[in-house]
Amino acid sequence: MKRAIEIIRLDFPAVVVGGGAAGCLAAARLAGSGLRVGLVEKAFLSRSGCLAAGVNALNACVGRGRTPEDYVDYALKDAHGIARRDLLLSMAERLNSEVEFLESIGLGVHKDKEGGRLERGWRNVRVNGENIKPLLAAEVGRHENIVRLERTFVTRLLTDEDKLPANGGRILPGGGKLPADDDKILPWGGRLPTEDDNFQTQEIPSASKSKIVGLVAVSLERNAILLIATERILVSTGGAAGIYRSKNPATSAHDVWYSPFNTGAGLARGMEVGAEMTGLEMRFIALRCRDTLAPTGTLALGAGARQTNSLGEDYERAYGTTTSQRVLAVRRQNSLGNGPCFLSASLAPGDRTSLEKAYLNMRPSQTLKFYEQARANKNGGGDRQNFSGENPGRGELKVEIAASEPCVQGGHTAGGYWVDTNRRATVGGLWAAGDVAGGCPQKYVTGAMAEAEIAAADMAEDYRRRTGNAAGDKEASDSRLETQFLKTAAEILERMNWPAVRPGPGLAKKIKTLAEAKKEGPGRAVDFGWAEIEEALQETMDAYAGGLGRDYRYSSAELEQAEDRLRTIAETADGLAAGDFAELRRVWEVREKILVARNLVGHLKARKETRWPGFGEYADYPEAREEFFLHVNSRWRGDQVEIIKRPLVTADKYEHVAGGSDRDDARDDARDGRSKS
Amino acid sequence: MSVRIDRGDCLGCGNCLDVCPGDLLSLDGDGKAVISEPGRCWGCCACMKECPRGCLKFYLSPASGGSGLVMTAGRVKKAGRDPGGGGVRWRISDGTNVLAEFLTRPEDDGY
Repeated sequence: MKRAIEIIRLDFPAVVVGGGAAGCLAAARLAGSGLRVGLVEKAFLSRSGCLAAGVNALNACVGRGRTPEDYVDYALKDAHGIARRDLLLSMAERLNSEVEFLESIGLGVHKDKEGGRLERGWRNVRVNGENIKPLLAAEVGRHENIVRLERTFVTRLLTDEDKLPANGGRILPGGGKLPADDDKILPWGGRLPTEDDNFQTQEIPSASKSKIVGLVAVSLERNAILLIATERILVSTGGAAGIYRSKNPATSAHDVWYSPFNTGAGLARGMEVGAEMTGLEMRFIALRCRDTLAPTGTLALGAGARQTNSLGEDYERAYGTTTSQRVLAVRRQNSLGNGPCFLSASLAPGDRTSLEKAYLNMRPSQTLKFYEQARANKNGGGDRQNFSGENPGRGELKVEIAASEPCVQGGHTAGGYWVDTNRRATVGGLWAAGDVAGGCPQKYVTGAMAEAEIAAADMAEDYRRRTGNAAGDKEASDSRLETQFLKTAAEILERMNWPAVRPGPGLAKKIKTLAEAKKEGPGRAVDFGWAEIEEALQETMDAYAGGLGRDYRYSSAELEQAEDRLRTIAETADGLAAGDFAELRRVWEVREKILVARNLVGHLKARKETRWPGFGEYADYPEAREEFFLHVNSRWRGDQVEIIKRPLVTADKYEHVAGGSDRDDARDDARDGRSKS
Repeated sequence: MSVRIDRGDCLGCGNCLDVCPGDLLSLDGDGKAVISEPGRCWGCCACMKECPRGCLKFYLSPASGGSGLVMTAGRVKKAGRDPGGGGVRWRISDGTNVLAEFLTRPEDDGY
């Protein structure tokens, strides 16, 4: 007989959702400020997130002789102009202190002869970071006031408004006229934003009046539904992998470059409560070692390898040097018939061992692949002195490279929550940091950690300001929250065909009574599983929204087809049931991916240009267009995506613009006991 | 890519269960470790490092150019150090011969 599902009520001044690098650090910082923190993690803190296997370099730091401004310039150029200066600057200023912090907790940082950090280019430091995630998890362990909620996933965020924010953003006609004279020409012919481009005077409401009051989560560890009351949530879950079809879907659903366990949960939870998102259309396509999806930076920056095609030509410079252009280079060479493309270098045996160890510290499959490759090469056999079997003394390194399937994330590119400089999202009481936060590309590990520190400091400040200012109608809001809790529990239990709950049948009855009347859905004679729905999603995105199989190209007509198909897929997914919590987790994940995909398609449609040709090409609009020198943002409203075009943020600070009528705001402020800043 | 578990050697200690970033590992009815959905493994090799018997083996699927080589790993314990401070010992083999062995440590030189 099945164990009864426990219903557990919890309270925290702050909750962190997602225990990767950003989440672990934020929880530690919040706890250090004296707050009791709930840290929710879908798997295990010791290895979860993007750093599961480790890292062999910290890709974001400010090297000797450089300044944070240099990093901002670099990241803006790499994003072809579409990124937030305020976010990049506040991050860049903290990058080096994050490197120092990691070193202080035991990360192995390579040193040069003078004892300085060994830099790999001016933005990278070399490390032996196999244990980087256990080290960060150990930081969490040092704080008694962090409650670790592992093997737990969040099913819904709760706000004080049942309905979505009423005041929609207006759509800006174009992005305004740009001054003609500017010397900051970008590689693709455009220009970098300047102060003059900041049209902040056109006030589009962004700060929603709704506020976070809690969240509901499912704990596999406790076989329980957790009803958590909190006024502060940091989302640090990472981006969304697995919305597009991967290279080998038949043998490995997760043969992907980005953590496949990042399913877009954090994005989806925010979308559901109307949080504004930005830049989803800037999908990230990674240039990877073919077959293992291992990062290529280790070869290019570490071993000095050059891109060459099958004719032995070094073609890279012809396409430019931004991340997007490097991807474009490989794609174009392949479509010209010049492929396959390789990263090539000549290595001494000692260097080769170092390289193999570097991959063991980050993507062990690539080291194994070197040996598989040597075995496949007739001359090489199993001889590890030799990569390609051509030169026994100095090994010729030749690794085939390929572009990955697209994903949505804010760590390399800029897709994610629209936040202010303090990393507050547009819903009150909600913050975002790391890969789930948008507008701030090139953040990598140290940038995600910097964002976590910024958000945690602001959350702690918010806590200090708001305590002692207790709301007068607390009891009324408590009973309202209780109802929301039980309704949300009903949403879960209904999918599981009403299993027994603890404590007791009284609660079960209460939950069942509160369950929403069942929506009249389409009739269905066949029950599908989550895996079939996932396949449908990935197939649709691949074919109609510029996936790997279409060489990342899409057209308006295809995107419309994607919208229609995704609507049907979403409806079918609404009918998914689960036998236990492990299965329910997969059901939730596939629904998260569908929601992110639907928003992504809205963004792709809205940016009527080709801004980052390596990451995607809009067939109807094959060039970058000056009028799209803006942020494409969105809110999910009921069953469709609402697009908001915002002027580029080029100032050092950005605050959300309060929405709604003044009268409503005054009333809300009085009720919340919060002053308008 | 995925891991294969030698059931015969598995002690059922459960060390591997608590490190999988995808929460894919569990103990079956006989108390042996199993991977619930091998196709969803990301190949991070975290589980292998915690296995005291080296019975978790990583391999590349034929679609990724794999021809049957396997890789194992074991954590080197070092008293008084932070997590993973002792490093990891790696071995690549074809089932009969060991093709390569590595010790990766935080204090290594390298790329």
